[in-house]
Amino acid sequence: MSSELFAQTYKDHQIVFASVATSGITPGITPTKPFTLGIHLKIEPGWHTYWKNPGDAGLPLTAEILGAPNLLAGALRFPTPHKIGTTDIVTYGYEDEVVYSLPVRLLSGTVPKHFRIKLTWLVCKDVCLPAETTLDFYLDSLTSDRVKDDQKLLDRWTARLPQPGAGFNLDKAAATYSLQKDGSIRVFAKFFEIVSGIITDFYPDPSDDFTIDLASVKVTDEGISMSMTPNKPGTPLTHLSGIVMIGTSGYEVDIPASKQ
Amino acid sequence: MKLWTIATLLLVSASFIAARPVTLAVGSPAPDFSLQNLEGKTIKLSDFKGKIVVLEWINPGCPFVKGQYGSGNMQSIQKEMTAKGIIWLTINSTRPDHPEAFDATKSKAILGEWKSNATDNLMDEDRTVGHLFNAKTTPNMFVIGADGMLRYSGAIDDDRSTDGGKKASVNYIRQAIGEMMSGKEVSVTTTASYGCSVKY
Repeated sequence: MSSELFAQTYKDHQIVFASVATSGITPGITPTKPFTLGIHLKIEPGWHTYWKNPGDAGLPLTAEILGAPNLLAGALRFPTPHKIGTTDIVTYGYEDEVVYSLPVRLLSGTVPKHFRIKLTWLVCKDVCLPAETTLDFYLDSLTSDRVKDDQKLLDRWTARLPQPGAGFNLDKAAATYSLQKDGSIRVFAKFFEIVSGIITDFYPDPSDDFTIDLASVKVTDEGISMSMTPNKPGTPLTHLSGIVMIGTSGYEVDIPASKQ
Repeated sequence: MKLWTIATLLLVSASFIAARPVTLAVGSPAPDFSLQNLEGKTIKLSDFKGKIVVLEWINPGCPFVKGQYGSGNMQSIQKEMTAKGIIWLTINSTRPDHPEAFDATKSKAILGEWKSNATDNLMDEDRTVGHLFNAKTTPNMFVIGADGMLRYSGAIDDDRSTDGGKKASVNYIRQAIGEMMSGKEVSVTTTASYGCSVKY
């Protein structure tokens, strides 16, 4: 059983309400550019879902299109999150509301009149609850009013996607690291052309090769520093990627790193 | 003997350390601890001197833990390892007033139902040992060598879901212990653990 909407409940209370919004498709018109499916979660106060790097705990949302072989989904795009949690256990995510964006390319023919979107996520408060659902999407449900409302919603959340760091000269940066006695490395990233003191935080991308001590991330006037441990001892750090926070806005960076 | 003396000092001094726990580095001595099992018996890490010990942080209410036990993955590796003489201890550091806090009787019932094959199950209600090891998630795994040194710290596998390791390409505990028992260096010594946060 699936439907266009899904409500996740806990102790008879609705804690997450999931739906899909669209941008770039209209019934009867074949899109010539990739269009967007927005995964819209309304979250009960106190609960939260997660960024692509959930942090020390949690799990990111996943989305998959089913029943439409001519639709190719790209990588899910996560809006800029905020830091949630305690001093010791750092997590990144969303409270109240979030729209994750799934870019979709039409490979051939026309957009199917019906397809499904399989979603999984984890929502946490003092306890954590996983959800798995498959939402139906009907092309005919795109009335002109819905098209306008969806566009407004997606515009609002597209503006909250992390922006390229180059726009803020954050691409002009270099990271150096030094090996510590306990096998960890201390990393320092310096930005060359930014106004001192504007960076407020750094949220690293998930890494397969390093375990980052998220509570160690510190911002100074000169840049950002953190400790991490190579999962395989001796693995060199070649780059540091993530989002640099300036207030509540996130800027994507991928900084080359070298040993000091 | 000297190692355990140092470890005991570390345990005693742990309560005086400032708020932020220091991540226990792989290659450093595992600090000794003393906790009660579900029968109320006191168990110390130093009771198992000379043996490989696996520590598994557990919260039976956490969907990642339920996933590992629901798939049978955790019981299977517990059985495999304990058959080799390895000690497997679960530690529950959930604070007593948390909605997922289960007392010893309830914990015993759940672990019995799950057919856990752990050597023993320990309660860490004052969260001292969780903080001592800086356990962040459930599950969060630690492997201690027969020499008392920490050899692995992190995730159980690379599945990173609540599916209980069904999509895992590697189980880090099996890999680390296999290497240790073959006299090799552990290749992957640290990973980012995944799961629910420990309910401190």
